[in-house]
Amino acid sequence: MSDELTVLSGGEQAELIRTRKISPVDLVTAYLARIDKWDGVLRAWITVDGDRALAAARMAEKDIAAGNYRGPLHGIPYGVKDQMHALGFPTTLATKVLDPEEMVAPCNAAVIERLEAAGAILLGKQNLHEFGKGGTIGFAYGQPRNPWNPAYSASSSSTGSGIAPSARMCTFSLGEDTGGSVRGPAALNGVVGLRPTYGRVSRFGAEMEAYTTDTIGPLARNVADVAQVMEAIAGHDPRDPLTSTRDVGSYVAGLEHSIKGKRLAVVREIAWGSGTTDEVKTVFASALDVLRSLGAVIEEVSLPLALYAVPLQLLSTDADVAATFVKKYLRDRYDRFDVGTRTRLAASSLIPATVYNRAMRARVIVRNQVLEATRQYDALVCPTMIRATKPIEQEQERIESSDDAVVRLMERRIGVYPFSLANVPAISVPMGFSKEGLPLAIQFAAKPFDEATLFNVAHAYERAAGWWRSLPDLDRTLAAA
Amino acid sequence: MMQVTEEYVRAALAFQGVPVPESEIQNVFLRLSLWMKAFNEIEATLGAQMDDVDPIPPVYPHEVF
Repeated sequence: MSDELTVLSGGEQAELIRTRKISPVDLVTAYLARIDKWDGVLRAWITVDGDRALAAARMAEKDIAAGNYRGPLHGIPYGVKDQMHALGFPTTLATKVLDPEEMVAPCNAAVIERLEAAGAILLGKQNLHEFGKGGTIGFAYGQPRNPWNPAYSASSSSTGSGIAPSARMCTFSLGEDTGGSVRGPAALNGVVGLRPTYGRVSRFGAEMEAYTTDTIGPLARNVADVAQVMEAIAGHDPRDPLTSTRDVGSYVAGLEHSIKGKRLAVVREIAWGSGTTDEVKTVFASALDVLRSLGAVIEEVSLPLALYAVPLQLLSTDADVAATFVKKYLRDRYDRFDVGTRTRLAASSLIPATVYNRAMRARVIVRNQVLEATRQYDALVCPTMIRATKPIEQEQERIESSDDAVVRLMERRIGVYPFSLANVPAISVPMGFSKEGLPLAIQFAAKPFDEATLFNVAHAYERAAGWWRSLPDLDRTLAAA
Repeated sequence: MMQVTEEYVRAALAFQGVPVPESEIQNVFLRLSLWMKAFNEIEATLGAQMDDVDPIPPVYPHEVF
């Protein structure tokens, strides 16, 4: 029975906890057992504190028995990308650059505070690309692996945060998405991941340096669970002056609304572009048929400038990041960085201010094109990734020749960067599998602060398509590992 | 037109005090060259429009939707 609890959705788990048919202790115990059994291979976690989680679970059990049920996240276990501070856990940022005393968390991140208030139980901190920047080649805390096939990449940079809910090691995770770091791991591990509108979730207490696009978003095995977490973490926080004061509203209440008549626009350059594999195009076309069967009106929109999103993000946000790191660590700890991280940061540090300024101007133009499209349709739709994941060594961002580098940089990012550059909300949902049995995903994007529409459309698709029921059978997929 | 050379990379890294070893200079050069090549293409396509907008960071809650 214990392991079977981990197959359930967060909503189903919450109902069993609310009615006291199970205890949060049962759930935490089940997840800890799976972490203990499988994380030696998958390396989704950097730090797990089982004693602390069990103590919190016993406290939750006591509170609920006393009639103090706090809501659908009370007693639900989760993990967080090790880029957000949580008191009592080191914040390693998955790097060897920091000394142990520099990893001591000074506070709880705002999102941790909010989840604690909702009664969720933190299991631990999850593995990531070094400093959450992407492009890591040698992982300081072990190579994360895809639960569908451990020889394959589990994406970047919230890597462990995608692996863990897929491998049923927690009910949900929190990741961080600057360019595509929530949606990528969601797509390649076969779970749901949301990049919220910039300013919807407080960045306070998270170590992030790309201030124009950094967002914190949830990953879970289904859309409803992601919506539930968003209700808990969204909202204004005076400690992050760039959070919005807009009302959050309810995301869960609108999930079951019909999407009949909703106008969805396929982004031509991503969905049908020359870089998109035939396999992805075929599976995506089937996903559109599902949406049509639900009454959605499928149209098409061209966003030719979206192709510039990748270089413009790299020319601007990477320069912002490098500006921090030159002063902090690059000068005196260069050799302690992973080679992929340090060469990327060194190159970014050389982007002239004149180019940065021009890139920021170009971002305004490209963003306006994306925003205009989101104003015309209820949602934009395209594959999250234009190809399936590849074996780990083929995904590593080794820069050996210019032409090769262009392909590597573009193909992993072109599906997700246009929406992060525009800072609009976007959600990735499983849409099937490649011929090798690896997850493929569909992405919906909407106008700023319209997460409710995204959840509605994504939930309707998910329920009709049914892929959310597919979870990796680790006894089989990791048998040879 | 922005054109990067390995000499520029070495000099600019030295200027900033970032100690990149010689074995990694070409990697840094290739990355920067790649981005500048893309930038040149963008400038050629959007340059006139770029002159007419301010480089405002796209952060909220300053916009109305």
